[in-house]
Amino acid sequence: MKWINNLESFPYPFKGSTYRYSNNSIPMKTPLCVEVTPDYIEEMQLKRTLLNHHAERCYQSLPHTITGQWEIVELVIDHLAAQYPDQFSVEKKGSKWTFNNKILEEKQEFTFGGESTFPEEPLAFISRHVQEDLILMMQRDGDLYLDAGQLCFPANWSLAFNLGMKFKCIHHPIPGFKEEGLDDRILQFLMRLEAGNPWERKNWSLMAGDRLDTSLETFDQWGKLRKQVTKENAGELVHIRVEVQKLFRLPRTNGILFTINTHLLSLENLVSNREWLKQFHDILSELPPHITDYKGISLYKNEVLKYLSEKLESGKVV
Amino acid sequence: MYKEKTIPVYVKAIEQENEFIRRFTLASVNEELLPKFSGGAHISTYIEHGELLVRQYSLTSNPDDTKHYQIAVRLSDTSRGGSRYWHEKMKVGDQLQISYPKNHFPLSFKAKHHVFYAAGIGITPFLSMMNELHSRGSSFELYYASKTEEACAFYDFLQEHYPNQYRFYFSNKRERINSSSLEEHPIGTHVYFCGPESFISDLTESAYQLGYPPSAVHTERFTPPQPKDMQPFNVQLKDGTLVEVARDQTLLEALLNKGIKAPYSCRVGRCGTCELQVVEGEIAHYDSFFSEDQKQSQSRILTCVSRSKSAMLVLDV
Amino acid sequence: MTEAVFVPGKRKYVFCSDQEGIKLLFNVIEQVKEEGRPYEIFKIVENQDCLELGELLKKQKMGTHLYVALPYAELEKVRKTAEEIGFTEEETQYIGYGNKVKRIFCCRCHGMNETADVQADILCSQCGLELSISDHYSVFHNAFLGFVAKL
Repeated sequence: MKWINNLESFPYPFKGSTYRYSNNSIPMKTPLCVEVTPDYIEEMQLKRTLLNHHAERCYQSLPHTITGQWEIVELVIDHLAAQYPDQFSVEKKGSKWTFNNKILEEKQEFTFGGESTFPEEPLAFISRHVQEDLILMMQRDGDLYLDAGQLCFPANWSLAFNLGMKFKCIHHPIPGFKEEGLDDRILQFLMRLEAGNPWERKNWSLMAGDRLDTSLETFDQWGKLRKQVTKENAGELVHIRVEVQKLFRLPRTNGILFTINTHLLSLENLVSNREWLKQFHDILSELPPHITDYKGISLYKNEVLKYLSEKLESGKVV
Repeated sequence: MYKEKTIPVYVKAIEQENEFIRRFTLASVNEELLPKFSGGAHISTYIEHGELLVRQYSLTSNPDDTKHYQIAVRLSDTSRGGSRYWHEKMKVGDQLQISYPKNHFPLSFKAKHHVFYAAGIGITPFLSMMNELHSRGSSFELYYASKTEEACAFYDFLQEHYPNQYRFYFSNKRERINSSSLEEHPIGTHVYFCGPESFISDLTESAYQLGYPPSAVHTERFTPPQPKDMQPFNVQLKDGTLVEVARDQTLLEALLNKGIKAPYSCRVGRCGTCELQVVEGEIAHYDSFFSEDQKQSQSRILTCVSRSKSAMLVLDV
Repeated sequence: MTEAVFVPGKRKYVFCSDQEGIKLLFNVIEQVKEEGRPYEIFKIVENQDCLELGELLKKQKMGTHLYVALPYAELEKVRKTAEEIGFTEEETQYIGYGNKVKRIFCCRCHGMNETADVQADILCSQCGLELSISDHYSVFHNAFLGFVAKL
């Protein structure tokens, strides 16, 4: 599978010649919590298969999140209908809503805010129409908790384990995150997030293989590929994985919607852009061990560097 | 620079609640629906009147009503233009900008019982909080102090909607909220104080003396705690620019007047947006955003409320 | 927590323990007596349910501090009772003694395992995967994350 071939639409994540953890969030220019990319149909099929067959892995929620889930349904549907009027529409007659997904040719009538209007929870329903993973953080008693989420394409973490967890505990496994005081600062940043003023950021990692569903639950299957990386196959096998993350304050419940749109690009596609090749080579060679370890790159970092160096060299000859 | 998005609204109705308090109903200029909000939320209002008057008011309407917002404005004796404009100039049909709803005074999630202590106009944030608890079926009480029955805002509304949950205290009848009521609240109670500074600090102190944990005590100050004696000071910026901060001016105002694009949002030391790094000098913190540790580190300042203890502050901006 | 710490300035102190656990609270009880503060001691006998304790806890007013000293295995149900009534982290101290077992959450099948030795890898009792025990802890599950030991 080649998820992205179009370099222009790839959310290239790097600035400068070094990379460190930081709160690299910026205010969103166009407040849009979800996007529709050319891979929409293919990704929706994959997502729905995962949701149907691995419900516990991909969907979790606590009972007090239902109102917040409805806020997400409203935000997502309003954004889809406004931004992609040819693909999506919504008709609202009081609380009687009709949502029309013209790409998948599905029409859904429901009572907004009503109980048992879908066979599943509101968040589960709307997640079947968007490529993004959708996480609901509730602000309770001065802290943020992961209280509901639909997560099909995690970067090696478990939604089921992290359910009901505080923001700082979720990030406990990241080396240096606490020591550098980042957990405090980012938590404070999130707690001051305001409705109407959404933010976005990009996060990246490398992976051996091209799976979108790199869940912690299936690590024993996909993690093995890390051992097979050589400088010869790195271009095809290794992918850069970029998450475009968006943050919206939900005004009714004071919760936060966190959407994650995951993009994969093979190294051979990445390095076809000379500037990216140079910059990525600099960043990867300089990356300190605590970051390479956490991002799961350590096992094959040297092979990737050899591959990148050769590309740089061959470029010079040409 | 961070500038919050605003919603254009117009004044749909004005009602005189009592001698000093007016209620304003606001609706979207484009007849679009307004965002819902959570119990305890407020908006910033932006009024162009020579200068830009930015004020914060609690939303007193039903959090699920997206057709209108309602705020209640008390004419302040010491008005610096905000409440005076609302009372004397604002007419039905006038337009203004408001922020999206924000909440710096949210309900506790884990509380088993909520008790609100209000004095005067301090009742306003509790209206939406009680609405939310009532619709959830959660237990709460209101202790509400006012000078007289006539001056008691939302008196009829409270009697009608929460007949078994309020207790009024009228000072003209020599009734006072006594901190002894704090002794009676069962374990799992959260208390919320809103009113004049002395009202809040007296109750807060009593609660702590009884052994209330800090997380069970919630306070909302309409004005940030003011330094008793405002002193002028200077700040120096990275490029060497000197900015004088006058006695009656905030650091933020001084920076903005100088044309420096300093970030800000709430202007009451709550949201943290206006944070700047301090390289040198001793900060006098007046915000309610930083933790005690962060304040003691003396490395960051919220320019909207905090000042300098030393004659000069050097900022990393 | 392994040792009870006296928290001054509370209006009342409630101690809850079994015969063995009361020894762990002895110092704090002495301090409370010295300060002349009101206190109450609730004795728990083996395998007792929490109904009676719950009745006592419900009667407490704000400003009360609760100490519980029990075998680790008994601690959780008391904690649950107290939390449901409204005692928060700040208002309570739980002191466990005896054998401590950790709960381990299997990263692959979400099965819950128990172990006393956290150094050694374990086999998930549900799916058989070999698990290393991490220090990533979930309060919600009261469990540590067990992750793939060998790729």
